[in-house]
This record gives sequence, C-alpha cells and structure tokens, in this order.
Amino acid sequence: MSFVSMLRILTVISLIVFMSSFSKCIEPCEEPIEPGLSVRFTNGNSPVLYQTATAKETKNVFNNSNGFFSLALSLNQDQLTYFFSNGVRTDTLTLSYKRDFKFESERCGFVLNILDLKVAKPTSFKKVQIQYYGGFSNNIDVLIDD
Amino acid sequence: MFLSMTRLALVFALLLSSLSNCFSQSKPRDFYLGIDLVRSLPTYFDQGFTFEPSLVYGIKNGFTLDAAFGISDISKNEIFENIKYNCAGNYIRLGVRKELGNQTNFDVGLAVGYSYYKETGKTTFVGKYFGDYTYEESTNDRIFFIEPSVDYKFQLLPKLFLIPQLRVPIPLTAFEKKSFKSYSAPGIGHLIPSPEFFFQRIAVRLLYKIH
Repeated sequence: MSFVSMLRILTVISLIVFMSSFSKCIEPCEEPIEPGLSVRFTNGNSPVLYQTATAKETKNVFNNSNGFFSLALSLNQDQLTYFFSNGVRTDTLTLSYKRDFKFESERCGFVLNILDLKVAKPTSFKKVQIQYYGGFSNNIDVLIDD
Repeated sequence: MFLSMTRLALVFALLLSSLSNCFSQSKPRDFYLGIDLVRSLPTYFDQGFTFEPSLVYGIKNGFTLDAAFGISDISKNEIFENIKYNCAGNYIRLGVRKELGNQTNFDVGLAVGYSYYKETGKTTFVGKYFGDYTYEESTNDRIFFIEPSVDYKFQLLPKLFLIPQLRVPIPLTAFEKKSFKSYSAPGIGHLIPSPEFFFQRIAVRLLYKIH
C-alpha cells in the first residue's frame, strides 16, 4: 500500500471520527412536554366514525383528523380516560401507565419515560392494540379494531 | 454520618471560645474578624448568596490560626440547561497561616474543611392539556477537603486589611452521584470544570483587627 493510499484512508477515518463526534454534540433533547398519544381506528367492516375524543378529567375536546386522534397523556396522573363520540354513540378508552422521570444528561436534564402502558377499565372497546417501544416522551400509537 | 448545621455552629463557637481564652494569657496576640467579600457579593452570585465570616488569631513567629464558617445558598449554574439548580449548605474551615519572611505581606496557609450541603434539581414539564408537572430530585452530600492558599495583605486603615487570596480546595472524599452530577459545594465552589471554576479559587477578604 502506497503512502498516498494510507494518507487517504487516514483522512477518511479522521473525517468519520470528526463527523461522529460532531453528531453527538447536536443530539437533540426531548422537550419536557406531555407525551403524545396517537389513536387510530382500523376497523374495516362496519366503521364507526368518531368525531371527537373528550378527556374525562379535563373535558378537553380533540377532533378527528383524517382518521386518527392526536391526544396526550397526563403528566399528573397514572390513568386517563377518553370518551370517543360521533354524536350518537360514545365509547370509552382508559389507559393506565407509570411515569418514570430520569436524569438524562447535563444538557437535557430530566426526561419522562412512560412504562407499562396498558388498557384499563372502564373501556368499551374489545380489541385495542398499543404500539409503544418505550423511550422518552415518545408518541404512542393505539390501534382500535372493534 | 452527617454533621448538622447546629453541630458545625457549635464547633465554631468552641473555637471562638478557645481563641477568646487566649487573651487571658500574659502577652496579647493579634485577633482579627473577617469576611469574604467575593463570596458575599450578590453581583457575583446573582442567584443566591454565600456568607463567610472568619476569625484569625496570631500565635507567634508569624503563624496565625484561621477559622471560617460559611452559609451558602446558590441557584446559579452554567451546566444544566433544562434543570433549575440549587445548592444550599454550610461549611467550616480551620487552618494555619505563615508569613513569608518578616517584612513581606505574603502569607501561605493550609486548611482543612468540611462541607455539608443539599443539591436540588427541578424540571417543569409543560402540560398543554392536563397541566404542568414539576419533577424534583435532591441529594444530600458532604465533602472533607484540604485547602492550600496564598495571600497578600494590604493595609487600608490602621486596623483594616484587604487580602486577595488564591485558594485551591482539594476534595478528600468522593462526592456521591446519586442522580444528577454533583456540581458545586459550599466552601469549595464548582466541583467540575465550568466557566467560573478558576474564578472561584480567588477570594478577597476584609479583616478588621479587634485586638
């Protein structure tokens, strides 16, 4: 291997090391906000088109947006109930979870990790699938096929 | 075992008492009351305070005893971006100083210190729909340290002295890292490198000769 080839390889390695160290510097922090909760209805045969989702505790109303709802989990409690309604029919979805606050880093501070997210009572839906892979303040997908 | 603030104050009072007893000796010694200006200035610590009164007692042959008791409550930090930080506690420092030569105003000193403090970190999570939540963690910690120092004495008035001092506190006990990193300790300053790390090694004392 010639000296020039070795120099090129060393340059490339140096560049990769430099880029990787630079990417660590700009790693984004999760914003300290409520975890998002995305609810989608996947039923095909007899779909019920819900127009609104209302939080039981705060009466916040969320509208259907192209077939799914962008909701949120509460930072102050470990269980939350939403009422889905189309004006005629109302269904209930209750979720329970554990809030786990952790120190992430000097720059990001404390972050929230949602653990053990599961369907709880009262829930009127029969088939609820939660797609959640952990992590800090991630969005959570709830698929309802009912 | 943690020493409480009351115990620290008691130790300081005992020291004061023993120094006072020295006046009963036939030959009176120099006795000074001091305060650390830099640590006490609110413009320096713009979010908190440190109050450090001290007693200095001349023994003989250019040796002096130096004792200080400090109270500190600091919220300023340059490390944590998303954490509201606070460090509050007390410290005591006991040491000996020696004049460098007869006609110079330079002193060198060596002190031992004990710092007892609580660090608190808070982050407020914004809850647009269900309300905000403030998460808080705190750790109690203590550190024994030694502190070599060098200073220069300016005489402002017949009984008043201004003393710039370079102190190098060296922790002797490992500080615990239960949650967020130990950032500062009363009487020592920042424990990890920061923009003010070296600046905090500088002290300016005002001493008043009361005897």
